[in-house]
Amino acid sequence: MDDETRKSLQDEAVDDPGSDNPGSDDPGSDNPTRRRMLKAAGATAWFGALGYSLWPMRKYIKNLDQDELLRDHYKELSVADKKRIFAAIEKKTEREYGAKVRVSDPPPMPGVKYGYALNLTTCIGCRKCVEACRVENNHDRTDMQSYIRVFEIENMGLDISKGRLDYDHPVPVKGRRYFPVQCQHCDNPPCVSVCPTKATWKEPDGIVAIDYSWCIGCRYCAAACPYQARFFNWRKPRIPANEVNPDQGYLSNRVRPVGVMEKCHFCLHRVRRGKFPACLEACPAGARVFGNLRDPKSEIRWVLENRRVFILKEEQATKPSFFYFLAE
Amino acid sequence: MTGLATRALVVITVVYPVLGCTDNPSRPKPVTRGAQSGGVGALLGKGRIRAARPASAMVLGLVTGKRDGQGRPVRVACQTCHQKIVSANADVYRKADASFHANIKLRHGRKTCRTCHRLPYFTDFNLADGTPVPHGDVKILCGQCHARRLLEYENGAHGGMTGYWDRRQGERQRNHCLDCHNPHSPGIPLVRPAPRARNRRLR
Repeated sequence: MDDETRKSLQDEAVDDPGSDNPGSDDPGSDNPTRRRMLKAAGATAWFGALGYSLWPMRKYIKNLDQDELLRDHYKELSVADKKRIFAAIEKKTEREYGAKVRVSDPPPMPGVKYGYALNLTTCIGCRKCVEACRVENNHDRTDMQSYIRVFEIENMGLDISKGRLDYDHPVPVKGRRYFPVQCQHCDNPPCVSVCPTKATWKEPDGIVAIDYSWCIGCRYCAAACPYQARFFNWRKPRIPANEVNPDQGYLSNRVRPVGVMEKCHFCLHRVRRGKFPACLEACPAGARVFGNLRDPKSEIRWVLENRRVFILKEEQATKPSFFYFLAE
Repeated sequence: MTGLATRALVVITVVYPVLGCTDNPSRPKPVTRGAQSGGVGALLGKGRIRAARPASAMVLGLVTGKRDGQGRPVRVACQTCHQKIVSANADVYRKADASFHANIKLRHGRKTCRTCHRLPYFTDFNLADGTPVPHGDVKILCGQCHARRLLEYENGAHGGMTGYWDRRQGERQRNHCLDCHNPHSPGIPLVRPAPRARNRRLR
């Protein structure tokens, strides 16, 4: 319809010089009122189509504020900047979710590098860790998002490529193992090297962090991660006000904006204050071991030194900080 | 299997209510490590590991299934019967099992009651060599056979825990064996898994 209108307008424009003549042969072009009407209709249709095509952008514009747009990269923020930004996030969360929260940013502890080990012998696949992650990290409650996925695999071979994620029968089933996978916090992270904006980086304590305000949502990192541990925020998480976790970290579990990547951060706001991650505390089987890799007396070091430990997708040379082991 | 699960649930929630007892300094601690690099926490006495311990036999006893006027379950203390039964006559035990211990199915290898429970009052345990073990130290009893599990437990690689990984900053609470395992039929009960993680989709 638009094209036809435009074509007819162009045809008329070719005939334009003659149209002013009252004695023109063209019976259509001698009517200036009709031409003007067609031009106006064409322009209206064109602008209408443009407006219609841009209409879905309105919700992004509504979510943007100047402060968010002009924010510096996390590493360049001063203490005063952070204070101002955290206050703005707290206010925004209260406005949108009706929950009073406290945004903080605990610094990495010196002499600490986090390591995580998971005992595949004792994991029973109950997905309590998945649930704890959902609650702790302000995930969408209707979509049941979480950073942890649990594969159900056959006992022999430990091959997660043949694993099932959607099991819903009582667990544990004899002869099967359960294989939780989350961000492995690699020492050679492919997601960091592909990021075009440096919105994700490796912290001194080994955590691969994301600056949600700096991420442009290109999803290169999701494509690069061999563990499929990165997720895209397709829309604003829907959380009831009483379920919003009030203890929020700027780099970790604050309510993420739409259109950015997110992933497991070892519960950065908890572990940097010395606490265990939420998934470990929720594990009823005690299959998870967390600790400081630089402390030779830590539990994680005992596991690495005394148990048969393996890492996932070793051939990718990602050097994960996440280990799997089998009890002897 | 639901019967097993129910029984395990009953044993875990009713028979072994965990009293949050503190560590007894006289016995070996589960994880005996000093506070790392002598932080302030060590001076303030922080960084303790509180290992939960089973309740004493005095508050356990036989669950009768009846409830008193205030709705609390009525229990019969072990000594009520086991004070009198001191002989090693196996028939006595078998009869007693049938009538009183109907809710206990012993499916734990080739164990008998006396493998763990100690005469005369059944309030304590005994090791294989007859050494008495109080209820709180049940992990030593289990560790006689499950030595590797005990080794893992003592090094923090087995058993659930909450609190602080950094013991300079706070305390840690640990489960004991009977928090998760039913000693009479130690198979893991089946549980219904929580909802799985779904990737968010554009709608």
